[in-house]
Amino acid sequence: MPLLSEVEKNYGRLKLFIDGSWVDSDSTQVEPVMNPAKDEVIAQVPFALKEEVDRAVEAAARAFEKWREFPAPTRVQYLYRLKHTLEEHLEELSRVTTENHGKIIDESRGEMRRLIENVESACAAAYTLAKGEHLDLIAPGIDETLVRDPLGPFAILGPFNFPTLAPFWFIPYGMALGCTLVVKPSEICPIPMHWTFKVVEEIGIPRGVVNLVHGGREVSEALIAHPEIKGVAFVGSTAAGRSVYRLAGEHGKRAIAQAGAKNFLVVMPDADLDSIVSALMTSFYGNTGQRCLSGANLVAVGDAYEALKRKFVEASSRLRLGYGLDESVEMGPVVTKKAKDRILGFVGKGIEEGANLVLDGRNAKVKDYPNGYFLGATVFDDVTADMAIASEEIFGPVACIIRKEDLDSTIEMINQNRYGNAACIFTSSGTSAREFRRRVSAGNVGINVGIPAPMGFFPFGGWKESFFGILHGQMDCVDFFTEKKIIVTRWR
Amino acid sequence: MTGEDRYTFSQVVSLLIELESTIAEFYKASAERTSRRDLREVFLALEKANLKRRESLSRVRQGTVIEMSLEPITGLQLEEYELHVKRVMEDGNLDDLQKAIALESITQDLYGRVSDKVANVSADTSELLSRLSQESLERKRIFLSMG
Repeated sequence: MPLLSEVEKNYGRLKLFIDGSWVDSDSTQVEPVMNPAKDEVIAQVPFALKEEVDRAVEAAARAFEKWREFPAPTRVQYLYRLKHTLEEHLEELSRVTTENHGKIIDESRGEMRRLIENVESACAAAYTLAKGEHLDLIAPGIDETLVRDPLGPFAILGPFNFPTLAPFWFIPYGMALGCTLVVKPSEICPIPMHWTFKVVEEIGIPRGVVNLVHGGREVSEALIAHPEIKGVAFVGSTAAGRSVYRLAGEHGKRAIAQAGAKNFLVVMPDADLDSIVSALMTSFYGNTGQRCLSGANLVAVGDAYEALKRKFVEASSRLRLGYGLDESVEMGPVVTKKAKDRILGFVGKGIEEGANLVLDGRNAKVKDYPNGYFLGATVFDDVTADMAIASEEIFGPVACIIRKEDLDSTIEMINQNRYGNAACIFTSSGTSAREFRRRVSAGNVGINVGIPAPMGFFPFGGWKESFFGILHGQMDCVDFFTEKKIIVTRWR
Repeated sequence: MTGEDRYTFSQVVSLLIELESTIAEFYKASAERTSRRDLREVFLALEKANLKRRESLSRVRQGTVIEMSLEPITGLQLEEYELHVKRVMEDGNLDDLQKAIALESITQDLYGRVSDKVANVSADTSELLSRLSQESLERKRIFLSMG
């Protein structure tokens, strides 16, 4: 099958989108943006200056005063247009994502699909959850009403692994509810969001409602600290999430910080192994293991071990690596050379810890792409929960097989892990499934599903150190973007 | 193709989209070649219909929720179907009507099998393919009646 064409060979020096216009940054800090399959520079990203961040926030603050007065059905019309325009550009946006991130084209298409789903859900939220509440006659002649007021400008800080989808867990809801936004995508993968903003520009959204700045930690901190910013939504590592949450707290801002993960997939002896192996492949190696819902630890309970290990390792060894623009490829490179080195460090640590490396993907080579940041599927056996490879987030295509005697000890082990983003069980027993879903400490639970990703019309957030905050993303952020106002009225 | 009987969802649907383009081109060329007016009209109508079928396939591919569609699809032997189509197109012993019957037989069978395989991945793709398979059967009957 021929390679799909790249949208651009080089995206040049990226611009900022402030107050409805594309502007050049005056920054001298400019970093290269890579195509990880080729190890080639495909763009330059300038880290916005403090004055440029301030300009973006001030534009969002000015726009808020007008945007909040747009009737909800009018705001929703912009989102309908956004949905249709995104659909028209879906293939092009997907290819841009694959070029910059490395994920395979189907994963990029899936990311765009999910992004659009959130735009649709935001329309639903605007018409339903945003309506407020009313009770006649709380006392004779007196009624009480709750209305939701949009809060103001918000900062959205995106991760590299889902460079457009993760910010869209928030962006369309903020727009629908009358808030304005300053978006800072990952500096590693800024091109997909840059391209998405070109689509946003096409719908004719009033200037200043959405703004785009580029940069790293300093830009994030400048955004959070700006007095006009009312809150921040962040998706990234636990260390960064904790830092964002702390800083937001210091400045009295609302914050949602979705953070790291170490997810367990539990296979019971009564699971139908032949039917679940492909789900396990998707979970452990989808997005090259760089997703917060990825499987990391594969727990074989009781007699499941021998056959599970054999089938899992065999299927893992067959995964086709390559440039994601080839539709037959099943796993792309990791995002950066640095990420590859970090993952290799974990593999070395696993060997030192005494785990048994039964599938070694460290020397994987891909024809035509000798410099890409490729790693083959890697599987450790004889792993125990106290090892670093079983307890720390690797964020790569590395699976750890852990043996447990029974479901009780398995749940206990999962609950002792500091993360709590996802946990999955594969079983044909209703009793085991029910026990698992009731007792496991994780925000997203899969029953015979390897990636329990909530749809846009459900909240999305983890537990424990996978999440900082109260309100979750997606449909849950109606409360995040609005302030409740209570009106008590005496009519006579 | 890969040499292995294992495909991603998009790979399968992309192949079907290519097949629809190939058959559309075949009908267009056949319409230009034939001296029979009734056959020309059918060929031209089917060329347009095949382009619509291609659009429908593109649409369901785009609309598929992807987490599950990344799970490989096995047991389709798509390479054999591709070879079969190629052999039919290049067969000098068949006239265009006979080729059309053979191509519709292939798509009827292929789409029916893919429809079953993707039922757990994408309900709308499965439904569409089932309908297209039925359509191909009807087309085959029409061609047979014109022979």
